[in-house]
Amino acid sequence: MKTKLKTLISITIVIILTIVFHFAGWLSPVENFLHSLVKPGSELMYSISVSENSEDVELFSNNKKLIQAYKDLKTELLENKINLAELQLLQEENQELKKQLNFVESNKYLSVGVNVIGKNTEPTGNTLIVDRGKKDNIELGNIVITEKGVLVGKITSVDDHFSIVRLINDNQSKIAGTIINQEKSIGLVEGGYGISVHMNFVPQNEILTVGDTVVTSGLEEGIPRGLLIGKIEAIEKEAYQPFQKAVISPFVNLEKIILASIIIDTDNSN
Amino acid sequence: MKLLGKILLIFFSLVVLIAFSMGTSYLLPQPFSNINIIFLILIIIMMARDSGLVVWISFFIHFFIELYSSTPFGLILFSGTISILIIFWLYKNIFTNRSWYSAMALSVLALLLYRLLYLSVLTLLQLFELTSLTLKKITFITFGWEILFTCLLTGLIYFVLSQFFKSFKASPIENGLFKV
Repeated sequence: MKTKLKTLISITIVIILTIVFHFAGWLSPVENFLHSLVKPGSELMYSISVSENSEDVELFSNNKKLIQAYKDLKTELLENKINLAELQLLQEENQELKKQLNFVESNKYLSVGVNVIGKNTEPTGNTLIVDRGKKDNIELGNIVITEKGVLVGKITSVDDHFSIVRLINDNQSKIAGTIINQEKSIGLVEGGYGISVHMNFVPQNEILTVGDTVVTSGLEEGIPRGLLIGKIEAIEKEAYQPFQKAVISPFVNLEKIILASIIIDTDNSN
Repeated sequence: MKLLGKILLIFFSLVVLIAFSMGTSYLLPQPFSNINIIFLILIIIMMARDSGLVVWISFFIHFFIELYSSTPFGLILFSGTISILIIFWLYKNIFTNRSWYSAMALSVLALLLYRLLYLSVLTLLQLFELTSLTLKKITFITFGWEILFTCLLTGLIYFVLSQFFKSFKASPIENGLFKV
């Protein structure tokens, strides 16, 4: 029992020391090295997971005479597929970058384009890992958008070379929103409800309609007004409650984001 | 030289394991993506090797996972490593044999302990106002899926391995308190 207690104490001390060294920044070289080791694999798997191409399955008969011919053709086809996939990816990337640049330029925000290289593996949150960090002037709380200014989330953790984005459907996410209706109803857009988000604390007497657009209200520091969040899918109203609730479906599929922009300065006028 | 080779091999295997775990989480659809590959492999290694090295492997892997997590640093590292340490003791002192059903039981216990420690540390951090992280109902449902699928897959993989490898055959473990 004594040995076990000793082991437990020693391991706990090692863990505590690791935590202290992490916060002191002494583990940064090790962390960066580990990060660089896994980054390519994570990026590849993430891009596979978001690609919708599932037509690679081919059924093949058992006839031996056809096998060789089939194999040759398959090799050739594979090369073509690789080229085509690369081309399509580049085309998509190009289009998306153009859209993002358009939005960012028209709104005069200073932003950094990022590639999504992974997502959370822990079931406690909905986060994305992007390939830019402190070295690119990214800070905690910066907001992340995709094409045409659709809000995706906020930066919740920054390392030298990568950052973690808390998506709007994460259970910790809380963003001040406005509904584009007659009253310009304001409320709190919260995650933690699966793929949808909820807008809570909307006064009972205001009229909400399914299909209404929800945007950021600008009441929060660092988040400009008018970034698209989603549209109302359902309204939950209880007569005895002071507030009503709207179920919102985000404008982008938060599971399939490959490229995004991080707004690092909303006041920039360059 | 041999030792260096061994260390490099272990290191490489761990990186592959982490990448594999990420792959499972990215590629499998919900709720299957909640399978905890790390715990599954750690339990299989523990039962195959009977070695306390598994605790240090757990430490390294959870340190790595922690780097990509949005939770307060140390939460996953502490819960993951300590739960594997306790499970290792349970395995050595309470469980009497190697079998697919002990593998399943160990995986359930390990994950329950992991999530229990996770919640306890989180509550402590909240008490001291060191985090604003709170969990909603959906997270607990996810924990349930995680335990269910990991336990089933651990049992299945152990059963398949026991058909091919001698070290996985049903047998009493060394140093067990209650040997049959």
